[in-house]
Amino acid sequence: MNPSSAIVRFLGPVDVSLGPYGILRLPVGDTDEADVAAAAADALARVDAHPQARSAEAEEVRLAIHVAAAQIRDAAVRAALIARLAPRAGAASPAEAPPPPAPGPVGGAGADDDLFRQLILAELAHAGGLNPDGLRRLGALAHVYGLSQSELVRLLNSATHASPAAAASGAGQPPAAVRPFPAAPRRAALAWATVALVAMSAVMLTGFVVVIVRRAAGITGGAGEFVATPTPTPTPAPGGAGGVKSSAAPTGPTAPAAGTAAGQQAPPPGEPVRPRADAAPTDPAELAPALRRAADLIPERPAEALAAFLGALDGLYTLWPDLPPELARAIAADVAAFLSKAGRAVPGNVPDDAARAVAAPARRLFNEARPPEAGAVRPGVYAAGLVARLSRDASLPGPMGELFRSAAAPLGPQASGEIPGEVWPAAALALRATVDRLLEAWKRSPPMPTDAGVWAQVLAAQRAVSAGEASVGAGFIEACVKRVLVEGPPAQAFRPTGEALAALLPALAWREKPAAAARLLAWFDDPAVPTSNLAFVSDWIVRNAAVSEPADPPLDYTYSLASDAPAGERTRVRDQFARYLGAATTEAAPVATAWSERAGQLLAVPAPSAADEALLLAAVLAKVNEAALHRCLRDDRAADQALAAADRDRAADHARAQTQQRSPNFKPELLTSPGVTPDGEWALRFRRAPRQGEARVVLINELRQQGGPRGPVDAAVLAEAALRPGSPTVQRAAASAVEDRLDDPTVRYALLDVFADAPRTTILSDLAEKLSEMRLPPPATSGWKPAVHRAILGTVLASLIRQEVAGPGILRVDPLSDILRQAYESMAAAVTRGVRTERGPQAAPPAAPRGRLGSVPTGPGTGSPFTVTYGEAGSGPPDAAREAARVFDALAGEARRLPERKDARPTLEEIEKRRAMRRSLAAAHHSPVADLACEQASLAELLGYLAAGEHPGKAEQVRAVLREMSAERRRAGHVFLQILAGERAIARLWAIRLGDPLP
Amino acid sequence: MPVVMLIALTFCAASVAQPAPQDGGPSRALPRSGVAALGERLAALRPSEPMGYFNLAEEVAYEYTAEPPRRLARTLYILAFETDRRLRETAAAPSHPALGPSAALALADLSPDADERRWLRSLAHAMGGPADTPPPPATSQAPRDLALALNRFRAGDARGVREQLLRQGRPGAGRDLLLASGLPAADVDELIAEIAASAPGAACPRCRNERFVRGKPGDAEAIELCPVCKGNPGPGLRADRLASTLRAEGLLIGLRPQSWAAQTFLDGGRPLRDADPDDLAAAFGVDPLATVWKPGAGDWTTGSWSRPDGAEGAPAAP
Repeated sequence: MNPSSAIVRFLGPVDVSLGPYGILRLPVGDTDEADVAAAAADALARVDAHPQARSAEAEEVRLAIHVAAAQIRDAAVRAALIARLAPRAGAASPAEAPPPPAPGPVGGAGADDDLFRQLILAELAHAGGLNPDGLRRLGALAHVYGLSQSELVRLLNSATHASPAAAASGAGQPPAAVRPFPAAPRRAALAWATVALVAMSAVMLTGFVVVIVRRAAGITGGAGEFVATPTPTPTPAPGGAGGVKSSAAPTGPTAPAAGTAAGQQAPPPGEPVRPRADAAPTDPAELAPALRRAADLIPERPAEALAAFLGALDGLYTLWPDLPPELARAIAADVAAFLSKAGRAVPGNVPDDAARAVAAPARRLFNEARPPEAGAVRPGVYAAGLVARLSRDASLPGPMGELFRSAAAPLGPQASGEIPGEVWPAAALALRATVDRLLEAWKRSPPMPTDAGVWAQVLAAQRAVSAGEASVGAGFIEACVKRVLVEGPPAQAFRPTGEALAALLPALAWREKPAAAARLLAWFDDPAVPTSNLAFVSDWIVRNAAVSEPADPPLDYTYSLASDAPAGERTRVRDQFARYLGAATTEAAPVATAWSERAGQLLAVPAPSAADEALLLAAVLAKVNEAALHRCLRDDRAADQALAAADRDRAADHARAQTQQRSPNFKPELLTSPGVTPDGEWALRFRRAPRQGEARVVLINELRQQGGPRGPVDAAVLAEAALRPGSPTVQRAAASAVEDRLDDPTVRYALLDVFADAPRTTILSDLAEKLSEMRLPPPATSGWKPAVHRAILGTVLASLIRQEVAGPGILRVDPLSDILRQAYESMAAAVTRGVRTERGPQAAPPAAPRGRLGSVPTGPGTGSPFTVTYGEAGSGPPDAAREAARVFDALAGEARRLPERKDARPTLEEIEKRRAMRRSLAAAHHSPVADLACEQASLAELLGYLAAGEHPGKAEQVRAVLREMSAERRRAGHVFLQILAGERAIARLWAIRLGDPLP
Repeated sequence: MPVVMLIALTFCAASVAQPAPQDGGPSRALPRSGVAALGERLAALRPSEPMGYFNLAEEVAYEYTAEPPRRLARTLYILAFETDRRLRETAAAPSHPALGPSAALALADLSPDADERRWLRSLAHAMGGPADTPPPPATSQAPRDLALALNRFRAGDARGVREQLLRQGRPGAGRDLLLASGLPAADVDELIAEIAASAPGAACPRCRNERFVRGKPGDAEAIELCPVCKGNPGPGLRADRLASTLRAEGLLIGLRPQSWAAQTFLDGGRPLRDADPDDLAAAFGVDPLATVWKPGAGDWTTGSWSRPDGAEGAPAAP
């Protein structure tokens, strides 16, 4: 990777070999939208924070970030990237990684050609082809990735000719794997879809008209006919939040229209039509008298008796849920009495018609041809109970008994006596059998949809049956939900699953938190419950605030599980609910235990004498402390991640891997010694070339082609051409050539050599800014030259260090300091998102708190190291000390909100005063390391203040920790040992604050 | 005439006969007289009278410029601060102002180390003294000029760095600047020796640091790389010497690298000191409780400090 490429300059050290994942610093793998969005936002924020955020290059880097995010978001592209990159990303160490791709246009360890070809195809697809807009974007991306014009042309040619099949088909459409944006729908397809939609609408409209006309014609049945009427379907309950269709069972009887049979549907095929029935009673108290009156009409007026019986039966099947169990049981006896009397005394079809009418709802409920329909559930469940009771009634004629036994057969084998002889137990059995049949329908291939309102009817039947039969109480509903979750097809793909859950979930007791927790967490913990269906449940709970009391904090989107969430995410949501409901989390104990163990292990390591070893230990302890802060903020997942990184061996490997940056051809001793051929050959030709004209420009281009200067002489002559007065064309060409090679230590040194006598030019300013990634004062100001001096000298020193001029140990320093910086960055981000205490979330304190002592001195000459020296006049890359200061400020805000403690030693006021003094001392060091040592000590004192306040009995322990830290810092002969002392003290104070005993 | 010459000679002889300053400081017209009865005065000091320690410290510091008297002066200043602090914590405050800030500032004046001086001044401020303002350099541009001179020295021009090292007409001024920048004394001396050993003028006598030589005026083709320096004039520094000059240059211009490695290379990992009054005695190895002087067999240099209970004074724990 060309270190000076814009991506690295603006985003820092990213692994471009991992393509978009590297740019966004995401792990290679499936990534959810929230993470992609967060990573893209973070990358964009880095660009915005760069001194050259407003430059054209910055815009190009932003484009690359958006393109990377789009690639990861597209499932097909993502899959292709994972297949390609996973082996490379999964290597435990650089040595184990598959060999890097053949050096592509951006260098040996950079983005390979194939990745960039994919990018090209994606951009072409987005732009709609090879048009000016697409070329402009490609040019911008090429520049960002460090490609030359010729390399871009080569890749463009190879990309557009990569797929002969696609080229031959003439479709012009890039393969799906590299199409980051959805293909625009074809116009013809849209047109046909529109036509189809219109046609379907017309058919449906016609159907509705037919139905309405038929109803308006008043279809009535004559004697001996069963009528077909629409089932009175329940209306959806209002306020189904989030669009979830939740059906509530209808309450109260549905009064049948005169001349129709309520609760009846069209008879199954083969069944004779139903005889005329009298109007059904609407008052439950009228049912028994109606049945008795019907029986009284036997044998004199059999037809009237039958009509009366059928009417009473209709009323019974409608009103039975409202009957007290004893009354329902007594009415069953009245039904049996009528049937018995009719069977004995009435010839003809009356007994059979009466029996068939009794059994009809049960037959319809268990119709093999289709799953139970919504309208059949309520009457059918009771009818099944009645039929089971009648099947055991010896007073009934044989054929009647046979009919009833046949109707009761779906409830279970007759011979084994499983069918209860009582109405309610048999009705309960029928209810279970109904649920079985509904779920069996879903298991067919393809799954058979069921009625939208059927589960609401199951609930209504359950409520009625449970009044007389305890076996179908609340546990039955829970069991139903569990069965739907486990056996139902994914809710997001099969609507009836969601409809069932939407109907059943409200019937559970969610306000009782312990029960709700036990139930919900059991579902989360059960691997048989698919995540897709669990997602429906979590979403329902969130949308309906099902488990929230008015005083509870609202459930937000973080409690909603995605239907395709990975296992870790499922556990996270599970634990989040657990915390909300006051139940145990899966990780609470393990995180605390793991933290204590790790902290104890690291604190037991004696302070190393070697400075770089001390820094290694400090970096690892910083991750432990980061984990502690996340635990304090109740983010166990982040704590776990930080703890996983708190590994000395891993940190040491990381540091070792990052030190392979030596420039093999750079020899510091040649910088001030006589030149060595071929160095100087180009310089001589350049010197001989005419000052005016194109000759020198041609020579500069030639130098670029050959890879840059060959030594200090060529580099110095090139630098002089760029910085000293001369032809503007030559100057610009030379400056571009220098910019190409800003990573070359020889070129950097040449700039240092030449700048002192160079005039004040924007060329020099731009080069210095790009080299150092610092914003410099304008050339016209007095501070400009010193700033340029510092900018260039700093990078020359960095180059020398990489050549191990200062020894090999120093090479580990920067990678280890990066670990420290990342730890503090993460802490600062977490703590400024919202400081939470036992009192609940608090708003993040302002960035620059004004304590009781007044403002911390800032600005030039006042001792603050944070606004003056770094970057000379503005922002720069993240700095550990700056992030530590943010953590301090946030925690100080928390401390100020607590009641003032007069007995605190030191007090908050003293802590802030000492912080100001330390900053004043650190300012004289001009050192980011001293700055962190300064902030660390203050942070430790502040943590001690908080810990002693929260655990007054441990105040002496806190003081002992701070005294030891002071003593270690005083003894330290190297600032890294002071950094280590600070992290150790902070770890001990976190242990006190979290109440964790250290082994 | 012979009389005039004789007088002149006598005057010169008298000038030569002046004793050299003990610490390389400016020679004085009159020798320092020391402190009379120093041993007795030390034995008369009492912890209930902190000003006694402070006044004697000032006298000793003024009269003596070398160790061990300077060390005695420092100890006296520290004991003045510690006894004064204890009195203020336990009994009625003495009438004089708190001695802590004054003692710290006085110690700063005695310190040869720039870092230590900064720390002591901050300590004074932390104890309620004046705001910490580092003393201005002789000229604010001097460190930068020296840095640029070092830069040019590497490019082959030693004249500027020699001139910079001797600026302000005082030998060692450049050395002081280097020391003040934070470069250790040993490294400063090595660097100066390197510069002194290099060519006094342009590094390349053939091309005068122009990189190229011209065979025939006006003939472009006659331009050649300098046959001596091959186009790269310079002092031919080894890698470590090169790094040393860069380090000195960075310290002089107040470089603050982003890289921790570069920073460590620059300042050698110089630790940060806290402005904690409790650290003062320990920093100088003084037992704050050893406030009683026990005379020895000989002069004051044979005496020692002890605690009021008779135990020998022990250096304060670091």
